[in-house]
Amino acid sequence: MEAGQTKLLHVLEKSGAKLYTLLVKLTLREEVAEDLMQDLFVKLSSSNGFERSENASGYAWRSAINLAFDWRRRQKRVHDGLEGKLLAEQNEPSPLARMVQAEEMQQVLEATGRLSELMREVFVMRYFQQDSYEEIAERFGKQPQQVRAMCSKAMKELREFLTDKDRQKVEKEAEKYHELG
Amino acid sequence: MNWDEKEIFRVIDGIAKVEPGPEATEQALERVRREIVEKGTKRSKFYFKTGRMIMNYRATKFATAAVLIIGVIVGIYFMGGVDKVVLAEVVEKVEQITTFSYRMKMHMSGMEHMPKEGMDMEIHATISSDIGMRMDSYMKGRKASQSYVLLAEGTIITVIPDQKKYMRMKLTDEMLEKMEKESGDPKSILKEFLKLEYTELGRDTIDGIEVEGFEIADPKFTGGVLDNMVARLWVDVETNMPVRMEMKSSGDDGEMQVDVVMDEYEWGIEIDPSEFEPRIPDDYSLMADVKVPSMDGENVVEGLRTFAEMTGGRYPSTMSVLTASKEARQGWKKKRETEGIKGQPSKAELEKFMSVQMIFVFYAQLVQQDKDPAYYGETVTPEDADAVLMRWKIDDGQYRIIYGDLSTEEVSAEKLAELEEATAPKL
Repeated sequence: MEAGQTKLLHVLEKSGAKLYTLLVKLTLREEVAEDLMQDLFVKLSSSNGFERSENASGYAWRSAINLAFDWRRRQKRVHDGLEGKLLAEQNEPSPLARMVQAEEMQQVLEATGRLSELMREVFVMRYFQQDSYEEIAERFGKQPQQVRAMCSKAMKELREFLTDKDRQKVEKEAEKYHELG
Repeated sequence: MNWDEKEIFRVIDGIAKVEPGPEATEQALERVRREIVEKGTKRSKFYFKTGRMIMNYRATKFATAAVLIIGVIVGIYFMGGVDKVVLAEVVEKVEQITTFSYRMKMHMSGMEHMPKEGMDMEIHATISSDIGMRMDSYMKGRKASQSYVLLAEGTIITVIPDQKKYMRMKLTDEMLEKMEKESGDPKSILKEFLKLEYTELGRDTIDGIEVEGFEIADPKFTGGVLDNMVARLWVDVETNMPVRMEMKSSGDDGEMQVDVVMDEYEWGIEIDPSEFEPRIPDDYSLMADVKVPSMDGENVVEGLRTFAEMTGGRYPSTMSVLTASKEARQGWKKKRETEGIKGQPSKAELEKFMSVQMIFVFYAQLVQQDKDPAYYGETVTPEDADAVLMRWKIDDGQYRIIYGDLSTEEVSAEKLAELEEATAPKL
């Protein structure tokens, strides 16, 4: 077996399940995550960066996050995807509550996609994947306190994006109402 | 909603708790595992599967290149074409619109190296009449290319991230003028559209919106780039703005098909000029540098000569991009095999291939500009020195002719009629 194959298989066995779970969290759709998982390994197989990388799993994590947010940027929001099923299995809320929850998740994920690449990667690992500051710091070759500061800044920006988006929505609705009146 | 940190953490916790089922996880891992073990990791050997789709990565590159070219050509022709029908209805309303965006989904099938199910491409296009156009193409969920039509420079740049390459296509002054005119002056587009016959389809509902439909079956709509073409446009009856456009086209006697759906139109959008600046990383190399042939036709003669060299002395049987592109690719492949050329095509080869594609772009311009073009490649060969291979109208009623031996001449309409009569195939 070639060295490249061995390296890919190692990453798959060590982190494959977690990578797939991460892709499901970020896309909220299993079938999309499966395709992105395949894309991820195709990308890694032809990536010089991955070949040279000493931290192969770390490289794969970051590539997976970027792939998922690239996908999100191209998608229209959907409310009838897997998010409904997943939430139903966990909490069994009413259909209306499920819709609201799904909408909120989409909003937070959309806002996360607007963070800078590094900040987004750190934020996803910390909050969606619930990795420790130390683990993340090791992946990025940084100090844990630097990661903590980055997460704090990311949260502030995320809040601004979400608030701004809500404000725009209210203004748009008011404008529409005004036009109708 | 009050997005304080507590609320954000509540939603984040929800996302963090999302878990796929064990069966789905195992299925996803097994699929990747099988590919790595069975197919290896080299680019040339790595196969990828999506659902029913199984593709050989290298072979697909050729089909991908063809799909990209067609996508770009179709996209460019829709730069003006999209809103023609709408303008017929709402010319005054759209008169002020100088920016808009849309999504185009394209499904192609029947080309060599494609899986039976065909290939899909999605393009997100943004147009500014002052700056130009940007098109981001995606295939199989991955970015396939970014194309920039730069009006100020008269150039189209296409960046292909997967291959770390880019192409540059220089537009002619005529083409540029037409693009500027069409994107900046909706009335001129309306005028052009009104020349075509369309059928009213009545009312329907799309995504809850009441729409009215129009159908055009005139190949002139895409400048003859696509043949057997039927296009439908659905307009919001309330706003008089387009909601969706569908187009079906086929080539090679129906074997190849292209289905296009355009929707998600946004009009009068805010444009960030930096989005129209081509981003070409330093390590990307120039894949091809070509010019759209000028109206004097010299480059067309060169393109036809190149085509004949590629295909062992044949000219394209038609000027339809689907059929002729297939013939060019087959001829090119055969020539490479005969000459023992292996591996990726060189820059010179790609430029030749692109120069052939440009003939069809040129021909489409002739159709759209009512230059009365005709092409007889199905019957005329390089041996038919006196037969008319291609002709189009130039100024003062004169016609430019390219003969079978690729010599050219300017003749009157009467003389042309005599020549065509004399060389028409005997039935």
